Amino acid sequence: MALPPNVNATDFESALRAWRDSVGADWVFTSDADVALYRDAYSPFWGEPEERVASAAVAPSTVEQVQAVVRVANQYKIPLYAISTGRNLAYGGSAPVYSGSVVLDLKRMNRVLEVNERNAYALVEPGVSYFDLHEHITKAKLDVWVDPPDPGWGSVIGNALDGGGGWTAYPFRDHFGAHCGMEVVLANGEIVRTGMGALPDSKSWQHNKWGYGPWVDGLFRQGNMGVVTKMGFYMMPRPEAMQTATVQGAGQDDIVPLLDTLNLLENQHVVNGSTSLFGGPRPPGAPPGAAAWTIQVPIYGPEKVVRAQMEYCREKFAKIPGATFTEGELFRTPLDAATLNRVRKVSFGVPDLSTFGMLGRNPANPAPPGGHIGFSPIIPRTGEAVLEYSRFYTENLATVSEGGTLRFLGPVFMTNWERSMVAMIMFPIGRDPVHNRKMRGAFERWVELAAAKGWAEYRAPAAFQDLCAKTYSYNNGALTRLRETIKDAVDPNGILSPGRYGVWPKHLRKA
Amino acid sequence: MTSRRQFLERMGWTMVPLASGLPDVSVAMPVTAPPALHTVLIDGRYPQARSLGNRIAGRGAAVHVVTDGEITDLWLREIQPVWKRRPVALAGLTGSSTLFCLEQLAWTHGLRVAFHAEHVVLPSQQTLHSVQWRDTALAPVDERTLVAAGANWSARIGDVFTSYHRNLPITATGPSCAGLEPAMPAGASLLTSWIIAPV
Repeated sequence: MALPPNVNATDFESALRAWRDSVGADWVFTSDADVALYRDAYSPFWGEPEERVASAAVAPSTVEQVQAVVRVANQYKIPLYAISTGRNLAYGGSAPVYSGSVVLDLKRMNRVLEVNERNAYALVEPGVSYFDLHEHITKAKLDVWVDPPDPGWGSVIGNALDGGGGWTAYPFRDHFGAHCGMEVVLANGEIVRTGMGALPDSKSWQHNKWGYGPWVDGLFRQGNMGVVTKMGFYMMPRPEAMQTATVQGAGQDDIVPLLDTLNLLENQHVVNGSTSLFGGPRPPGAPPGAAAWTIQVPIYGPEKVVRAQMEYCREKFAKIPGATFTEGELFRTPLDAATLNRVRKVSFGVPDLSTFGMLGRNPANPAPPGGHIGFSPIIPRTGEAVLEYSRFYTENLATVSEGGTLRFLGPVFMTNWERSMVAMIMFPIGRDPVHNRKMRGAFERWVELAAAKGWAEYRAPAAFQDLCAKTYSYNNGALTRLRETIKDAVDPNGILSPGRYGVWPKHLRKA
Repeated sequence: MTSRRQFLERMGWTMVPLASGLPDVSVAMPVTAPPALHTVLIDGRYPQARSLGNRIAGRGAAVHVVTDGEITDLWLREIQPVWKRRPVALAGLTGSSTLFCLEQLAWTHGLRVAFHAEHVVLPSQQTLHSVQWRDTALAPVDERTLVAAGANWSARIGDVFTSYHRNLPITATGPSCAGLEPAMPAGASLLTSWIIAPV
């Protein structure tokens, strides 16, 4: 059994005993076989000495047990790493950022506490997955949708806290943005409820997210200031219909008016679905007349409103010379089984695991990535930014890819978020340490090159969270120093998820 | 919000169409009472897997055909309801993503990987074998045995599967490393054989 860093065997044994008393002996894991389950399945350091691994794991089932676990950790100064279901693959999974931490596994806290159809919200515990919530809603015949990410087996709370999102309409697909109220256990074991939940016997916890006074919920997004044990979410009332249009522009520079038009329509909330942008600078040999850019524009709502909004979109895009606008099939919900089987389920609020079908090796897909990590910088939502990033990628590709010998893939421009875009580069991760080392080097190089141009990550794999945090260095890293000040105040022993998203407690901070 | 699915689709990593004409996962073969393994999954695109499926089905086990690593329906309709009641063993000769997904889901229900072998089918149809993990309570099998079996190697995997009994004391368990692909020659395919069992 490994020891957490800076913890002696006697203290660790005492802590393990206390945790067994609190949560039951069956739910404290110390054997190598059990602890190995918390490895990051896509670790870019897989099998290398630097791979981040846990020393043990403890799995409470109630908030009172979470309090007890945290208090013991505080007493013995043992670092904990909180996970919900631990399926944050490509971003660290269930492995701690600080190697040797004890994983605080919350997947036994899996109760759907409330789904309110009338006001369209849910209150859940961290172990509730999108599958669980969808099943609850289906069994109860409630007329609201979940907004599943891809894949849908992860935690509703975990995905929101990591900065994840889904595929239906805005604002529901911005998972942290669509939350309303939290319950958090602080490092000293105290329970805090945010927003209206701070009112004893509150009757409006999931009705108003802001409450009274400074809003603190953001401290817990990609954070390590507390352990979130409950969270409310706005749910999407089942839309009557959904229709997607396809817009194409032939010229490379058409991306500028295409995105300007799309932005207007989204900012007006005429387009509310998760749009997709395909294309890029025209490759040599591309057939004449082929579209340089394709945008898919989904709209959810009442059928007659969707049809009117579609018509309005058509009028707006028609002002771009040469652009084409093609309306797709209009779907009326709920979908029957046959229809559901031919559409992308997550766009209709149904979680699935089909992503893994694409990730696996098969005869038509002989060199899949298997594991992967992604570099996901935010860029402005303009055509000019897309073209500038494309040039930047092309100019640096030969160098970073070592003359094209490293097969990473990108850039793909993601328009899922409103107001900004992600220009993603994806790196395959396998079992070969030499390959992985090269991919890590390429990842680091892109981070540095992009930061020099003013672009930085919104979400990073655990192994690169420090590197990406350092790119946010305005005014000598003032933002990081503010976060560290808060961290030191609320978690003076630095026991909660040290290093998560580059926020380290005082005793582990590097000069 | 960034989606790996969207990314993969755009990079041309697409799902494989069903080539064999076999039923997909939602159409289970006739089920009889399984002796020890609740269900055996096979990837119907591969003759070795189909051969194993026929062999196992002949012994009374339920066999499901999966074709593209997409196990959502199988999970929601078949496996999860059973595992919620009691942990029962599954086995498979499939792509690695099927094992990866089921293994992750199995942990929550008290099941672990008790056997894991990889079979790299080269364009010449020669197959390279690597036994990654085998609980010693299961029938012995190693790379040499599998190579010696030639084209009939999946029968030896079937022997491992049928050596599993409900009361077998499975103690040495994974996790597998099925989430990460091994380095393979160009044009090769990877099949994965596995048992997930209660511990």
